[in-house]
Amino acid sequence: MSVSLLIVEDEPIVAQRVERLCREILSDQLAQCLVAGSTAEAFNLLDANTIDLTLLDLNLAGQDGFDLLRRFAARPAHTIVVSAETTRAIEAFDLGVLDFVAKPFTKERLEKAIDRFLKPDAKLERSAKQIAFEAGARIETINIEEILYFKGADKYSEAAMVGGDVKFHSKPLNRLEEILAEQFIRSHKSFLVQVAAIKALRSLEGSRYEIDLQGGHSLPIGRTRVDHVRRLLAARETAPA
Amino acid sequence: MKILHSNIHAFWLWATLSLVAALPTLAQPVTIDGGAPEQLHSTEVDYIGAASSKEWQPFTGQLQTDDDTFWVRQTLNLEWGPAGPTNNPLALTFQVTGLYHVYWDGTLLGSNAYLGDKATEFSRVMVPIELAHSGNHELYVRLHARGLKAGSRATIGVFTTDLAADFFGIHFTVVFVFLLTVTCYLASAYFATVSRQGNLQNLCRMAALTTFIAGSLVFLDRARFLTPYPYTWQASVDVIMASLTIGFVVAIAGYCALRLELKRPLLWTTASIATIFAGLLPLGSMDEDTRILVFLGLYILFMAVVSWRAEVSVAKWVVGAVVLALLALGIQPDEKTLFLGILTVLFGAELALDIRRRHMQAQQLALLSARLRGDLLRQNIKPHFLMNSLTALMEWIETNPPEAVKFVEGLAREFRLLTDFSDKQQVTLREELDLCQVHLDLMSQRLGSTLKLVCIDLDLDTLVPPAVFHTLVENAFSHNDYRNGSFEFSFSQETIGDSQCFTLVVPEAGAPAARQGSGLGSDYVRNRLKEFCGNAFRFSTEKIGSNWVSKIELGKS
Repeated sequence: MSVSLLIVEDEPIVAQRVERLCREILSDQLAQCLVAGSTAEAFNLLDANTIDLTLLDLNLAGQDGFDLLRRFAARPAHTIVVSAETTRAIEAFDLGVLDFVAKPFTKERLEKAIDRFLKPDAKLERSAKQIAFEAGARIETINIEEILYFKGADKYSEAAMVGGDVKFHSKPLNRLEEILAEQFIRSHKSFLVQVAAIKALRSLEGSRYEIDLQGGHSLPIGRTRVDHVRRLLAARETAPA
Repeated sequence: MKILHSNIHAFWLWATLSLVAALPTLAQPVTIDGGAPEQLHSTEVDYIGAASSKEWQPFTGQLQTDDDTFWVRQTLNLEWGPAGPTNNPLALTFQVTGLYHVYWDGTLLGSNAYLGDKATEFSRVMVPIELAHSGNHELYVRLHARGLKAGSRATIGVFTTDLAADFFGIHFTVVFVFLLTVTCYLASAYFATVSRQGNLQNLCRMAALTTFIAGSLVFLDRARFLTPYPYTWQASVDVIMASLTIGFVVAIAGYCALRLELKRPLLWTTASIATIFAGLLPLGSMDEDTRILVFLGLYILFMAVVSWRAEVSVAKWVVGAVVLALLALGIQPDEKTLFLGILTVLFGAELALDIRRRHMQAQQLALLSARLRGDLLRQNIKPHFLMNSLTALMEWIETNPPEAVKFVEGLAREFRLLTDFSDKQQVTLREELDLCQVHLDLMSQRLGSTLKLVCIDLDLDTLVPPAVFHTLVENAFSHNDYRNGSFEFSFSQETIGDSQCFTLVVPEAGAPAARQGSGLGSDYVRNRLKEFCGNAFRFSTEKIGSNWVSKIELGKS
């Protein structure tokens, strides 16, 4: 697996450290490593290149780090925050970052963070609670309870909202699945469904199955996922209220 | 109880004395033997001497000699009824009109110490119960005739207590004299304390001295009734009282100007002297001191209204109290004690509130200082600065150890300076700029830039609040991108009148960021300036061309 990296850091010596350590950690897997010292520079590079992972400093020349993070989180690439401001790490996880590396950091700590990207099955510290969507020039942050399911659409995803709206997200379904693993289930290669929204599992003719969602939606379910969904539903019924 | 003679059934006796000589003839003490009460009562004669004399001069306000007096002597025989002496110590009352001193069996009982035709008819001299035993007593009354105009009447009245004891009036006076004296001393202590702290030191010292002297004189004036009073001092007391009146008017006006937070309090205080001259104008039938108090009251009222318009909270209370005091003076022009008493209570209460406010301010300031010390130390360990520094240090340790050593040296120096600063409320400009330069050197190393501090026209011994300019320099890094370049910060000092003006010019670099001069750093600067010089400062930051210009003016409110 080759990785394209973008390091967003305004201190040259810190950027140098991140880059050096990433090169050591990823070695041959590193396809590209770009460094941006400012937000504007970073977005130019994101637009011009296919970036898989962004290593982001939250404090760039007086800008609100979380406003910045929402903008990065709405992009296709995964984000790892590398910051001195550890007090708001939980908020960062809620926005769907893969990891939060506190400065100063060792090679081992950075390696652990990058592993979360390289090994998608690795459990996250905390699953995302919100999803940031690009809405024209602004960023809209939606609580995940408001999303029924995501549908894969090539490199993008469509989010079907509880209210019936549909929003587009730049991240492909795989990356959304990685940051939403706690609350969503991949019911089909094209669908990522919120577990809490599933009402029933229904069998159809020809050994096919569907799940019924709240709001009257029905989605197909892959044969290999049926047992998993059935167990989830059974566990939910026996769980104390 | 019977008084004087058993055949007198009335509760009171009048002793009316005719003053039949013109002033020159009254220069020598005169002794008048008192007769039987019936005779005294029947010999009531109007004062006619001055009317027939061309040499009559109205009272001028000062005694020429201490012999312008005459004496009245009355022999009284006291007989108590079956009920015996009452427990009321105010056994007997003598009512006289004029300036008098009353002796009972050779003991000075009291004096009214008033001069002029208005010498109060409400004055009382009480005979203590232990001196009012049955038997003969000699009553001596020393009178000043010069205070009386033609046609006036000098009267000595002897009353039984239950009819004439002006209990409330007497104690009313005592209470207010006590209040006045205590307030004078409190005010004196207050002014002395304030004179050590802020502006208008000389005015406050003068006010402290005046109020102390005023309190002492009021006290001594009353205390003389406790000891034999040397009558020859009267002339000096008159001069002192006249000076005290001027001092009293000026002190009250000055105090009001200060408490009402008027601009130019010295001017207001000086202008109050005009109220004394206004009081000397022959307006109406009021006597001089009443007129002075009326004009003083009106003057304070005017000051309070001006202050009220400027939304000073205490002004409305002063307006209310002065109106009340003037009303009291209007109802009882001869009873100035009530006027002074109301003002005394007002100023006493206001003083107490002010002391409480100052105490709270001092506590808040102490709290602010403690918080600022904490803020300053926290600046050292501010995550963005410290953690990035440590990250840079880790990188140098692994890749370029000599750079790491150099950086640790700089970092230690900055920490040491900031720690030293945290215990201080002021540092020299030299120390402050030293700290700024150390910070710029550290940031130069971290950012791979050349950052210079250019100093212009500085008096390096000037005292400034600690880490204020350092905070502004540090703040520049939060809003600008100084990577890999050469940047010049400039710092200049200018003396404008009594104030010092410092200007820090910071170059703008990178994408336009949030406005500088706002946020936590700016709060720290403002709080430090406030701790350093109260409100006597100005602080502003604005963008001029491609620079951010911060100006701090100390000594300017």
